[in-house]
Amino acid sequence: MREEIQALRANRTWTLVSFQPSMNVVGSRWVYKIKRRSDGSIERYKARLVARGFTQQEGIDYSETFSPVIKQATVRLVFSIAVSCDWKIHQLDIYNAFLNGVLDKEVYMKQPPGFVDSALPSHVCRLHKSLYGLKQAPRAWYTRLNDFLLSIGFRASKVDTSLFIFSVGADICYLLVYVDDILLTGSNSLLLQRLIQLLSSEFKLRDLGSVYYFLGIEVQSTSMGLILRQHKYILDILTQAGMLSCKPVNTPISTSKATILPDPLFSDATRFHQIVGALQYLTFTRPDI
Amino acid sequence: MKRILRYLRGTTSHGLHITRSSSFALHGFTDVDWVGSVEDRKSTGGYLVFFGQTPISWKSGKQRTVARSSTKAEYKALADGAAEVIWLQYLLTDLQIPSTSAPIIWCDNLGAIYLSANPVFHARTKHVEVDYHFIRDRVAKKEIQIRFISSQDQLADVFTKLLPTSLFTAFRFKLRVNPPPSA
Repeated sequence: MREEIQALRANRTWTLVSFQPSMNVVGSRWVYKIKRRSDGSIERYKARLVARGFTQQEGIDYSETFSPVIKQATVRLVFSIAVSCDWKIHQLDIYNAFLNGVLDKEVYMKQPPGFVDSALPSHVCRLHKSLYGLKQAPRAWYTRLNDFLLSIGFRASKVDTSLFIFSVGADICYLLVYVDDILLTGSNSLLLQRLIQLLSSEFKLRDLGSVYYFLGIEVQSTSMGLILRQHKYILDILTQAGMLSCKPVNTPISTSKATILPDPLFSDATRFHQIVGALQYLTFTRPDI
Repeated sequence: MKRILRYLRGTTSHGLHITRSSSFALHGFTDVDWVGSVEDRKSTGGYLVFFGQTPISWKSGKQRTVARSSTKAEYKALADGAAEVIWLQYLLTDLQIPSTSAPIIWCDNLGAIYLSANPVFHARTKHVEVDYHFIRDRVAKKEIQIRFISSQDQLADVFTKLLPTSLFTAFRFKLRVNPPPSA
């Protein structure tokens, strides 16, 4: 928690101001999380201060919330090009990505629990940078990153907003953004290093080296190319459905008509929808289902 | 549903294999299962787009409207597939990958192919929504090519029909979904 507060202070996330009745003040709370690796082992514990964004009012506290998501076909296409050209795919992890977003509206927040300024207990925080939990946080981060990438010479793709292209002479680099995960690949490894340096001069980030775990997808490189798998994800779905010990079958759909019986296992509609949703994401690497 | 999960149980470590492609060309497959849904008689359409040897985009879904003929259903699937191929073509242009030739879409219905090449309104197809006719425009401009493929080589079959194990496994292999190489 102390680490997080220090990061927020270093970032000049807020200043204390005296409370006015006209302000809509959002609450805040601490959220604790365990970060896991792709094999399920614990990487680190993490405390995060989040704003209670659901008490924000549209028009007053925020206007735009849309933040683009990545298109799966783009990811597969870029992977395929990188494999064909023997390019290394770097994965970058931005620390506290959302905290980099600059707010265009005045947003006020109660002082964080456990860290109230003893001299000014009735003051509220006026937020300058965005916090996790705010409605506009993803948007503010995306805008900030977008502006920076364009300023260092990247070109935004016209058809996919999460894709950026950098070209100089015969060399070309592609950068894919999914919230705080970034993939960077290109024809010239020196140019890639230079771009990573440029990015790290603006944002605190970690170069995770060759991509191995991205959006829940395990990436394994072989002599033939890459294998994309969602092994852990499948096991998670099966656990959730209580079907880890079921009898496997060879095809996803039966050729006989007799199977359209009501499924007693999924009488719970919410759970059914959760599993269907999970299966939909699985189609990232599995066209066969 | 339960069946899908049981299928997954047996194939948890299967994954999509991306291998080196010698060609940077797009090619697509489209197919339908005409009026396959018993309840509302809508058709199931699907497409699959390859970049070189790697499948990069696919979709399977019920069509929004009921098709009065299999040709019409195929034509709609063709239009959906073509829209995806064209989008990917824009993406490749953005990525500065030069396209060598117009992407090819493989379809196993001759009627739909004629319809896409022939700017004549036939009596039976005059109800086809204008929306789907954009494909004719693209074919005329030579931005895409549409070719015939026999049903047994139709890779999009797996998205629209129920297949027995041997066929399914063969299709899955062609979709590059394989178990990890035994180390």
